[in-house]
Amino acid sequence: MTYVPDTPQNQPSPRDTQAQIQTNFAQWAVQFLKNHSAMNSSSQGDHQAVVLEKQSVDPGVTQDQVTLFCKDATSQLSTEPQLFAQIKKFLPTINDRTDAINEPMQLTYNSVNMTGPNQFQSFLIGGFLLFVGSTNNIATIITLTPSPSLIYMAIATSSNLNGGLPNDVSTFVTQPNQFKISSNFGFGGDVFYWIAIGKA
Amino acid sequence: MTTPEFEYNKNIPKVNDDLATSQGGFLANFQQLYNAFLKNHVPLDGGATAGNHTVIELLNSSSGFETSSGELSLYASPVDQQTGQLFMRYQGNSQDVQYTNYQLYELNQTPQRLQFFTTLPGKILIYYGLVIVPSYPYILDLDPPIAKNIISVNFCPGTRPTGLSSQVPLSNPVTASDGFIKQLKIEIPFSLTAPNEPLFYSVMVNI
Repeated sequence: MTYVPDTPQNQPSPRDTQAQIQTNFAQWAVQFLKNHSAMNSSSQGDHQAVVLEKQSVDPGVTQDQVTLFCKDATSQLSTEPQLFAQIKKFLPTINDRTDAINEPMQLTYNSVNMTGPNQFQSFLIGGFLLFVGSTNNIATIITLTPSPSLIYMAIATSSNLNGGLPNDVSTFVTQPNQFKISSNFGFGGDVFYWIAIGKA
Repeated sequence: MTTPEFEYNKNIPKVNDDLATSQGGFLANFQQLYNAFLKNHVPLDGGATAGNHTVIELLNSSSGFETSSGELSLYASPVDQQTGQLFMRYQGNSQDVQYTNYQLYELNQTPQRLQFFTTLPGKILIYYGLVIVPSYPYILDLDPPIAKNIISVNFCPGTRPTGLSSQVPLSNPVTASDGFIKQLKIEIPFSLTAPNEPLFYSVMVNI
């Protein structure tokens, strides 16, 4: 039996709807338990987890609040549900004259790379992917995984000196998911550290 | 749903009431439980997903929420000259961390300037992108112009068509009269750089 909010009615006697009343109490406890500490527990009412059902439209925020929700976000690789936050519109201000609307901000991405060893990956608010790593062979083009749709920034630095000066270094984006490090004086074996940001 | 005739009454039924006496109270309570839970949740009669959240609306609070050991608190709190932002408080009433810091939006893009920004928890903003530098010294605008303190600046020249790489420039913040750092002055110590050289940049600031 499911929860029936319009219970008990005037007729018949509530005694005859005893089973539904009991069901309502039982169902309330069961559904409440889904994301919350159980009724009668010492922490009853607290959240234990938050399972968010995917939304098809943005909730819109006009009150003084932050709304967290889940909706599909399309990346270069796939379309996956992601966590979003939407805040109340506050722009423009005296410092920032941009009349930007309060678009929801993507807080998550569906993968990180914590194993490396030469490339690690995380994500930034806004649907951006952050890649960091190192190489001792700049002749090899660096391929970013998971593939971004576009590289917005690729910065490399050298860890070696040449004639008492740091190796000069530059980067060149060759593909939406690839870039190459160049150095006039970097010799084989020299280590170059790099960081790149791309659009998911 | 019909509008309940009564508000939720936690004292229903009373000890000596028979069910008939409490019928109205039962009805109101069940309706109110249903309606209140419907906010932010799949309804109680919503099938297999009943009880899950649809969204989470966090009303602005002027202070954080108590956390015991083993608990985290997510809450919304107003930020000066902005609106409410998302905050976290770690267990045992430990440190409050501002998780979202600003309203992200798309900046104007040109062939000479690809510019983006995002934020990190802790009131840090990152400006990054690619700029074609016509000549040095060069003024790099930081948009949105809300930086209070520069905490990290990184540059990397893009490779010239010759394949040769150039030097990493130096920079100094340009503080406006209102106290905000709205620009960086970028210079190069030698004259080995070709005009119209691409330059990747990453600037991290406190806001």
